[in-house]
Amino acid sequence: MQLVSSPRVEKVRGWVLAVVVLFVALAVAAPASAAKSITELVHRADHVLRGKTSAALLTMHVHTKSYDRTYSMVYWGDERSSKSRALIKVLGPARWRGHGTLKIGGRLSLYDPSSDRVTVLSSSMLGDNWMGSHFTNDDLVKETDLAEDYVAHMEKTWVADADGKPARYYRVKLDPTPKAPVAWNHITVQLYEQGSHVIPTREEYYRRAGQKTPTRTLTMSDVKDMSGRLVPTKLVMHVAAKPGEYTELAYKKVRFDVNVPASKFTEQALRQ
Amino acid sequence: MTNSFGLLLAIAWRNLGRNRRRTLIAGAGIALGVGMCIASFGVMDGMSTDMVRSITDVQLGHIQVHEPGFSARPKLELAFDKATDRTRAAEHTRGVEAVSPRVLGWALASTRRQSTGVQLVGVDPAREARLTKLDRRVSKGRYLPQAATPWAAARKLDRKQKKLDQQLTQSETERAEAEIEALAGGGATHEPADKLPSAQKLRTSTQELLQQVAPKPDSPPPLLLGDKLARKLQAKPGTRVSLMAQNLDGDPVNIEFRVVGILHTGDRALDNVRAVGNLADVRRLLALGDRAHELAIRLRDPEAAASVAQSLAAEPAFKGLDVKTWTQLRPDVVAMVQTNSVTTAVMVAIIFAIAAIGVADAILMAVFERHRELGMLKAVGMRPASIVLMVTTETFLLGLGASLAGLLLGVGIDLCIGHYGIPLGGLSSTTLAGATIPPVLHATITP
Repeated sequence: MQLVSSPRVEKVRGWVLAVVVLFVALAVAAPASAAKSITELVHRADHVLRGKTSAALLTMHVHTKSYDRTYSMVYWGDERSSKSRALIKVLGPARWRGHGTLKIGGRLSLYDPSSDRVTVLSSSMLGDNWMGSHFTNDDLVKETDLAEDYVAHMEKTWVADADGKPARYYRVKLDPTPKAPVAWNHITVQLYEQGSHVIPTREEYYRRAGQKTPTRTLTMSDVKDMSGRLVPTKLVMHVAAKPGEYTELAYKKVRFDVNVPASKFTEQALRQ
Repeated sequence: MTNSFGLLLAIAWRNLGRNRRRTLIAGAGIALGVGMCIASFGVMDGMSTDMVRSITDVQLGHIQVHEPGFSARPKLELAFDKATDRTRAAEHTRGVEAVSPRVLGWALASTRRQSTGVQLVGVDPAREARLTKLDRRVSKGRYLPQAATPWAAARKLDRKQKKLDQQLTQSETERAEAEIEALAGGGATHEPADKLPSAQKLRTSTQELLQQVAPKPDSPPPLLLGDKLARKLQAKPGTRVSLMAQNLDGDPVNIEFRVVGILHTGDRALDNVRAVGNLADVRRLLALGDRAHELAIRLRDPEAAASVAQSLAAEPAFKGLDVKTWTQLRPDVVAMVQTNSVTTAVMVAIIFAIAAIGVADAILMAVFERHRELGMLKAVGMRPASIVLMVTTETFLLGLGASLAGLLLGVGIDLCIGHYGIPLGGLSSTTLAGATIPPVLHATITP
């Protein structure tokens, strides 16, 4: 209603503004904001190898008591829509060449060229391991987001060198939010911040509270520049139940913001 | 004394004959009571026997041998080696009638229309037929043929083939890289397509290598499906079903089988999930070699299970393995059978009490009715004790005769039910905790 403010009102406004500014400043400086930035760090670490769209060439080496096996694979991923989609095709060796895995949201289809058949996985098979590795089918399907489904608490922070340059390391404990559809009691993530880059180095998954050794451990190393982004290119998964065994993913090439056509995520592409 | 007791016996016998109607009614009461008790004992006993049989004869056998831990949590890798030798060793053990080695795994079965998880069981057709008469449970189609499906052995690639394989992988990688670059908008990238082998050549070369490292069977191996499972998969004899599983090496395998027959065991759990193949074929599929997960053993005398299990466990062939009787494997069924017999005992006690009260009533009434007669006997000099003895003798004779009649009646009813069975109306077979109560009750008579 009042179009022209009186000087007195102006003065009050000034005070209010000052108080607000002060509060904001305090809030930024306060530990509460640190928690927020930790969540952001976790978010960035969780998405380090995930772009809106991405494509990668990688090898997966599986070492178990009974076999050693290396697959060459190509990965196509698209997280632009609410259902994240991915296609993984095995390029070699001959035993698995042409095998494919297509993920559309929570649905996983496997293709075996020797029988020319696409199998949609039933929920009972989600716990099985994927292609004989230490990852489960569920690992591929689950849509959990470390930053969204977990509450982050900082446990420890220190400064150390990473790739010859100083970096600030953080160890963060993640507790699932009450509604999160997750199977873990808690996760600890170790990551470092170096300039504008955030790189995860270790994720430990715990099944129960108070558990000493993690059920699964994912370590990330060999940070390289992949089309303009610094990313860890070696991921190793250890499972406590199978000591001495591991699955190692080595990225040879990662491209982000690749214009992956929707036709890549169809049964036809899976069969190709 | 003997003489007077003989006289008493004669008098008592005659007294019974004097009022035939009274005697018959009282006697019929006793006979019916005894007969029904025997009949219900028989029916309940028959139900228990049927339940136990449904466990031991349809699948379990009387004794099973497993790798330790398998019965608690079945896993593919919990298989014992030298299964052939161990089967023979069990077959040569005293009291053993039949032995069937089995492999058990989980697979995803899919037809063109449907797919579902199945319990994949590999059995030796002849041995399994001797153990569970599986061949007689085929409701449609045929039983498994004895011979294993011809299936070439896998061979490793030689150096030249390995090199070819690496080249193929390399060219596939280059092709994928070119595609990524093109889509990433890298503009004019080098186009290596012309120097890469054609997709056709790649496929045929891969096929050749694959046939060597992971050969397919010469023809689809035979498979039996439970009838409910077959309905779920919309399969009938002749349908091709592909089984996808993970073998012992952790390899995903996918082999097409051909349905030869449909099984109906009446056990809902089995008919719903079980797919049965030839032991040799399923072993090949799951890369199990000469391993087995289970030896099911059938005994000539089921009661001897515990002692035979003990002597088996002591044999060197079964060292380190779990040898368990069906009562150890299925304590739930044992508990059910026990509950059943307790229930029957309580029921019979009630029937008996009712019959006893009925008889007492009839005798008491008869004594009141014979008030004058007994008075006369007393008047001619019979002692009261003798009168009591006389009535008791009468009752005893009546009871004895009626009980014999009741016994005949009960046994007759049991034999009839045992032979024809009591159809339980529209009820189909009921499965209680894995034990099946068949739709027809059969009585058995045990001493």
